[in-house]
Amino acid sequence: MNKVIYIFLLLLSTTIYSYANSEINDPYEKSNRIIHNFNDKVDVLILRPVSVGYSILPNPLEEGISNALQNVSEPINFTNFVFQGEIGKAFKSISRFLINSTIGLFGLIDVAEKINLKKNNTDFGFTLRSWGIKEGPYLVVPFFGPRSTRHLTGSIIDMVTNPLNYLLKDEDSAIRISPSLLYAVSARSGNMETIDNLRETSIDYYTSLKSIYIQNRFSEEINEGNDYMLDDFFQSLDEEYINE
Amino acid sequence: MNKLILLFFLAFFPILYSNTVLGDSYHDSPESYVGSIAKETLNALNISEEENDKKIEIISQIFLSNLAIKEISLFVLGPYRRNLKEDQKKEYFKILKNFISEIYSVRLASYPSGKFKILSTSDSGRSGIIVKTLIEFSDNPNPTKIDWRLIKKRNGEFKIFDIRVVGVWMAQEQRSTFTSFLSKNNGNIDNLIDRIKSQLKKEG
Repeated sequence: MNKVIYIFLLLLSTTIYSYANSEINDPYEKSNRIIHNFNDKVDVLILRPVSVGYSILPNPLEEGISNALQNVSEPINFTNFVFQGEIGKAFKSISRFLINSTIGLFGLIDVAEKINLKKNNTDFGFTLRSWGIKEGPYLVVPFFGPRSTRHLTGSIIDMVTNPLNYLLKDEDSAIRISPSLLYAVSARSGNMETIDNLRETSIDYYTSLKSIYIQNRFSEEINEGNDYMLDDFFQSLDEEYINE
Repeated sequence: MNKLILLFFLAFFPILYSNTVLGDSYHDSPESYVGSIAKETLNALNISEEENDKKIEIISQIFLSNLAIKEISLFVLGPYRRNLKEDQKKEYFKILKNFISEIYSVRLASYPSGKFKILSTSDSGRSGIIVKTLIEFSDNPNPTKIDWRLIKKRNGEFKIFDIRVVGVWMAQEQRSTFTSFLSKNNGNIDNLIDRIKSQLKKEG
């Protein structure tokens, strides 16, 4: 166990994203690409066809499932917001959970959204960030896809501490993992054309997914880094125009 | 009489100039520029799924005339921009123009049409003007945020430098893939041009 902790700490000791030059730290690219190809095959052969079938469901039913899955994640959001010291957001998350679990028929209807309690997701990866833990290198995890080391550590902790696991602990393993599978199918179905288009149009699908992951996960830092980088770019372009 | 004509000419010169010299693409504000592109794009998104090729073609034409192609083409090369030789420039700019407009149009064509709103505008100085917008759909409670990074050309025209859809800046993403490709190909731009050509062929 100590070895595992040591390896994680070692992985976390470098940052995934250098804001100054917007390069992505991907020291395990070779093995990451192998896992990416495996994940892509799983997607093409299993996840995508299942998601196509799922998308045939009537819109209100799909929305109900998506709402229920969001509702199940609210206790995790609550705990993490508390750990991050974001008490207001924690209060919103737990209020959403209580309202949607009762008035919203076990989370199928997002009643809270209608009274301006908008969803706001977080995870233990962000909690680790708020504690000053560095991001660590970029990884591609079998079945889960892109993760920074810090994000992966957070996902494992979120999975272990998810209250749903305790509620379903006496059930068959098929039932225990069904919420995660349903979440994957629902998310894939919701991004069907985006992912398909990306696969078709990208000259390097692996790098495109990495860029999209990084941009989504670190939007604040990326925006700041982008401005600096673009300042430099346009300045050098101006100088070239002048010299031309 | 001559004085009257002169006064009339002076009064209306800015309007005449903007309409004749700069054409329909001239806009006073970034918001009106983005608004006009969004309007044209949303009209195109109304075209039925059966005519998807037509829809993509129209959106592609909108982007072809509004993208800051030269700036985007150089930006996506990252540090390998210095490797672009004079004799490669013409072909590279031409192929990038097709590639970028194709990508932007294919990706945007997958969205349904909706109601367009401008949320805010912020001027980031040299790095451009960001116009934040929102598209609301009639059959989906989740609106889509689209941010536009514009640059102002020397003649006063606005051009699109980058678009962020669902949290992803497209030129930024292209930059990652291009620099990754070039790093594995010793920074050889000819290899990149060949790769883009084969990608365009694949997309038909």
